[in-house]
Amino acid sequence: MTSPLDHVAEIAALLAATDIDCLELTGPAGHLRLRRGGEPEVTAGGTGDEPLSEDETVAMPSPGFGIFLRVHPLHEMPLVRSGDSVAAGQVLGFLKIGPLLIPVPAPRDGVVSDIVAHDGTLVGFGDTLFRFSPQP
Amino acid sequence: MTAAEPRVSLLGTSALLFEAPGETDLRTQRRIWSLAREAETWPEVCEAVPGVNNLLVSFTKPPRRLSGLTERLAMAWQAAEPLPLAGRIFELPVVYGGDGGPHMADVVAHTKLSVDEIVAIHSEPVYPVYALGSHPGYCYLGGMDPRIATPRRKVPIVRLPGGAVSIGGAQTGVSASDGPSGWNTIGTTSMRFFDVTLDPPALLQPGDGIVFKVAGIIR
Amino acid sequence: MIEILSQTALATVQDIGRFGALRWGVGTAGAMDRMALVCGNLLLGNEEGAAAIEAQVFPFELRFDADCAFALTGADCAATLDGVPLPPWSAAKTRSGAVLRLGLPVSGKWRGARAYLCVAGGIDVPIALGSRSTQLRGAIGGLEGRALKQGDRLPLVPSIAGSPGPLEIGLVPPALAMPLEVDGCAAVRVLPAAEYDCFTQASRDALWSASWKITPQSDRYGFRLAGPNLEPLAPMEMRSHGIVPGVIQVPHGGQPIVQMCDAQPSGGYPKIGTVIEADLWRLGQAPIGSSVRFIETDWDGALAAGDETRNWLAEVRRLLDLYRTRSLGR
Repeated sequence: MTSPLDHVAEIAALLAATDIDCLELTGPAGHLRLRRGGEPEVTAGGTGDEPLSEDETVAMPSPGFGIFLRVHPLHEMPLVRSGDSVAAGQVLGFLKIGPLLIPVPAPRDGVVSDIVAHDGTLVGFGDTLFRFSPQP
Repeated sequence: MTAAEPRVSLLGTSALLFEAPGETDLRTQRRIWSLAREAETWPEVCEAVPGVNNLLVSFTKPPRRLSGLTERLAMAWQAAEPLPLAGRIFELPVVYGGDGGPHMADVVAHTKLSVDEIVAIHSEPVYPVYALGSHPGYCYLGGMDPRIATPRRKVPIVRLPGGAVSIGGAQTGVSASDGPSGWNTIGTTSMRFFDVTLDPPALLQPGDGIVFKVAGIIR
Repeated sequence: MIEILSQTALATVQDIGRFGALRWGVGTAGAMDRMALVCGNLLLGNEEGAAAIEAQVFPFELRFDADCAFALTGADCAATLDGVPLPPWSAAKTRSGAVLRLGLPVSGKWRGARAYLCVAGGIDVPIALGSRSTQLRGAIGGLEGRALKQGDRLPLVPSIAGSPGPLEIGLVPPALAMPLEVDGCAAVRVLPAAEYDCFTQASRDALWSASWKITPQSDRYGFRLAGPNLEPLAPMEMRSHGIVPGVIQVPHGGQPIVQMCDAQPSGGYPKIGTVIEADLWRLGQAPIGSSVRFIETDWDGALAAGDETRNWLAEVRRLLDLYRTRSLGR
């Protein structure tokens, strides 16, 4: 299991590229707050905030931090809508870090049951982006 | 376009153009070659390429302040001594008029001379190669008789064949490969001017000479 | 290897351009959108100027005959790999045998005219006079000095050991990151050139205020523009002199021509201005039939524009390096 704590230096450097002043990341391993010009704060221990399964859906966590985009910057239409069937590897959204666009691919074939994260908002490592019903 | 002082103008951020004062003549042109040799030794200069009575100076990277470079050019121009001619003469057989010289009639109309007179005047001199440019291996020649000068065409020709002998304003030249041109084509020749596998790839260089030999006239 | 499947591709191999051969009459050639070329190569961990395929007629199809990584930048052509859509301005890995298809450029928030396919390592054609760029006139560089055609097979440069390696991510297109428009019309900055003052005041005003339509007689050699006639104060007969891509010539007819990457390295028409080097990529992507506006700038303004694009690319490079170390750490 990877934790944001393993990557504080890189995350801080990436963060410096953006106009983000403060980043809070919550994951199983703990809670991390990075503030521009400040010291990192780390709270050890799990948060008990594990994604719960509703019906047959699973939470798709964000693979990193960034601005969540449902729409490619060149396009008008979102990549997927709730209820769309998607194939493994299909790009469902992007995380934008400065000029970089990190694709968020579907983990396997299935249906996007809910889009949890809002377009254009900052998401942290492990934040739920989508809920997803894997195809049996 | 005569001015007592050389003129320097910008070609965007990638180069500047140095224009020598006075009329086009061989002595000025030999000083341009000399200036090119000097300018190419400067670290901020990528290439110094002679034109006709002028010099393009391209930048390795655009200087923050232009004044240093322009002042150096002006000083180097003052000091530039005419570079000697290379002394190589190339003879080119030319068929004037006909399909290979589709604009002969325009030159006749502009100059009020006959085809024979134009051919006689055009094939008379040894033309010094003033500069290379336009397209790979192409030479701008000096020394054309002003009586056959004809303005460039209002609308450029999209595809002029290689080997076309043409007149543009007070200049003459031979195209080295097919391509667009705004010049008036009066004849055609077969000669290979450029081979990328050779070093240098261009057959001719500034200071060489060309003679046009009349191989035929199609009236 | 890459095999070209399209019949009339009009695509060419281009790198960052050929410099230092003006003395032999050889122009720079190179990618019309250098930003797109560099971005694609950065995503792949290639040398920034590595050779790529520039496609300008669509649809365009090719097949990869080896497992490799590639990046698509430039015009968004709703690309698919074996039928699976690919995001624009991004890198991906492919298996040998997969078919890449570029459709017509999409009119989204930005419409380009030329697409770039970079591959890990770069396209391997012989280097001619210091560059792999195709110079059609004189048949120099590229694949036999000509445009690509159906059945052509292009070898790839083996990736150098220790090269950063590809990242399967994308970039925000520079046209969105550094937009430049006037009244909703794509714009480029122009430095007045030697004969600027030799045109009538009305013509000089028109240069800055008119929107200039890119006519169908526009290609890699030059963009012939349609707009108000630019009239000289008196007829000018110029002596031949060196020119560079971006120079705006005004032939006797009065309709300007912007010299582009395959432009001849010298000319004799009066020059009213030059599109600055930092904005040439914007013009290189302007589709036929669209219009552009010219913005007057000065030396410092032009240098600042160059700094802006350079700094943006430096930031991309820096963040990609960071992201690479982070991905490798996982």
